[in-house]
Amino acid sequence: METSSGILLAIDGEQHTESAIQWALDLASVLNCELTAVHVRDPYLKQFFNDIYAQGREEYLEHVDKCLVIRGEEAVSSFESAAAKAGVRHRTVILDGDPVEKIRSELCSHKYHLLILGRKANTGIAAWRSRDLPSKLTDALKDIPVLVVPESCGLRKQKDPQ
Amino acid sequence: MSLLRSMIVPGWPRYIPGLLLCIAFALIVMNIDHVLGKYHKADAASAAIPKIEKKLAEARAAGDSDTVAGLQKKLEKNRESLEKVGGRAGDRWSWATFFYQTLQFKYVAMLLIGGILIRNIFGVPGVFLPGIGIARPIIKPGIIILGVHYVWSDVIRVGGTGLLLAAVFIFGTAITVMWVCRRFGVSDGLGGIMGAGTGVCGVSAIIATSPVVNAKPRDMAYAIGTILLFGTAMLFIMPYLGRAIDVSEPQFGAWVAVAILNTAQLIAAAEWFGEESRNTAVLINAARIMLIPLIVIFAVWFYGLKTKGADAGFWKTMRSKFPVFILGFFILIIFNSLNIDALGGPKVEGTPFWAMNAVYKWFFAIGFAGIGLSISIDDMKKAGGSAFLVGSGAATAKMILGLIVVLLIGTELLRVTGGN
Repeated sequence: METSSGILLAIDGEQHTESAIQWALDLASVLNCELTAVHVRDPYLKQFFNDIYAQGREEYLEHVDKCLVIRGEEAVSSFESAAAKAGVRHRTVILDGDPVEKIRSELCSHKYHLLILGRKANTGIAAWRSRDLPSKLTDALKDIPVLVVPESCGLRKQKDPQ
Repeated sequence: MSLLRSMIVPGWPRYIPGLLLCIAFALIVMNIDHVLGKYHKADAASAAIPKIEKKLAEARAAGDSDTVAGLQKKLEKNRESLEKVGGRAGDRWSWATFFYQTLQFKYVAMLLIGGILIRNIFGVPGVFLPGIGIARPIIKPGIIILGVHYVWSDVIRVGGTGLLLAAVFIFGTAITVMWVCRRFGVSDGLGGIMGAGTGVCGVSAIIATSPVVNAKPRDMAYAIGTILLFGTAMLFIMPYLGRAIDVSEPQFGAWVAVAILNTAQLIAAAEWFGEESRNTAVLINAARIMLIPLIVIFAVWFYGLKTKGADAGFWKTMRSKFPVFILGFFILIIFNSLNIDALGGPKVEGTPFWAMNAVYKWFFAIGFAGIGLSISIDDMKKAGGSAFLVGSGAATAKMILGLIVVLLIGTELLRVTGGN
């Protein structure tokens, strides 16, 4: 069943999403809507488990799973403490799979008004090497506005209520 | 019944589409390779026949019956090659020679380059990916079957030299990389997987080592990307480089076994270069992969890690990390060395070993199709950070030092005779 869910924020626990979190919290606070943070556990590394002479495959898969769980927990807990501090209504969603597909399906299954995500300040070879999730999502999502917050935006200061 | 059920891989139907794709791809390419090879042979025969006929006339005039018999046999063989394509002496198929001989565009190259192009230009739908992943280890039965090409004297001479070479290069690289990483403040996780990965078997060693040294996902992605990048680059560069500097086939086999980290890639490069090169590379590689458990144990010791649970202890680590399938390869070597008439040999038509030898290429072809279709430029783009610096340094040093060492060793000590 479709529900109206306000703003969706993509978090990955990386430094470059800090600015996006701050922007999302400010916007949700101003618009007085719920902020949903989504973290996608990308199983990318698991695809290598059956390399020709790989030994201890189960152990490797368990290690990757454990790392993904820890990373997800850290990303979510960092977001939750920031949201609680800002007094914003929020919830968190953890999904497993390809980030572009999962974020798109989360957006399609709930009526979000906006997607916010961060972008690394990459140039040259680093930009070519980057998977560039923001561009892929912007291309994939034609009907939903996407706010891409560059890392270089820096953290905005909370406005003084006075 | 429960034993049978336990042997079935859970979720096996998801592997079928990709596996079928690899089989179909291998089938098409093997046929193209066959046709190309046939026309190349005919082209060579067409050019050779007038020369042989001239020599034959001279030998007849000189009354040299031995030379006449030899040349007549040669002439017959060349005429057979021409007949296969319905051609006559003087006809040319220089395009086939250009692709097959000059560019070395054989089934290995077609599967790898074709696979890379398909994967990175057209893309491979997700439904095929699990099966493509599972197709790569199909090389393993091919490697086991190749055991019929060796006898124990090869194992002792080439394998012994190879084992020494592999041990020096593997531990030399691993110790140097781990020491350099520690010296320059690289994390133990990254240092451990790069030491093992650049020392032995690339991604396979990273998979075996990363849980032990508790490597972080980002470091693993960097390390795997770096290993894939250099492995792929060397896979395509080394066969051409080998021909340019004119190393012998056995020397080339030993060189790739030392320099290329990913085992599937090194076997592909060696197979591409020639049969003798492949025989040497497979044997040295068999010696090399047996050192994987020792590298893991070394990493545990170097970083002072405490392993727990089922994998604790020297023998438990040896058992859990030992590539058991390689024992099949050595069992076939034992049988081949015993010279059992009923088993025959790889070149004795109609015998079990001949039949096994006839199918190894198919296992390799399906495996190479899997490798080609799995090489993603996006994966290699992940190469970076300290892993890239360490990986590029280790790969270059191994390639140069490996070449110097195999040139010093010479060809004979590295040549697999198969008892002939």
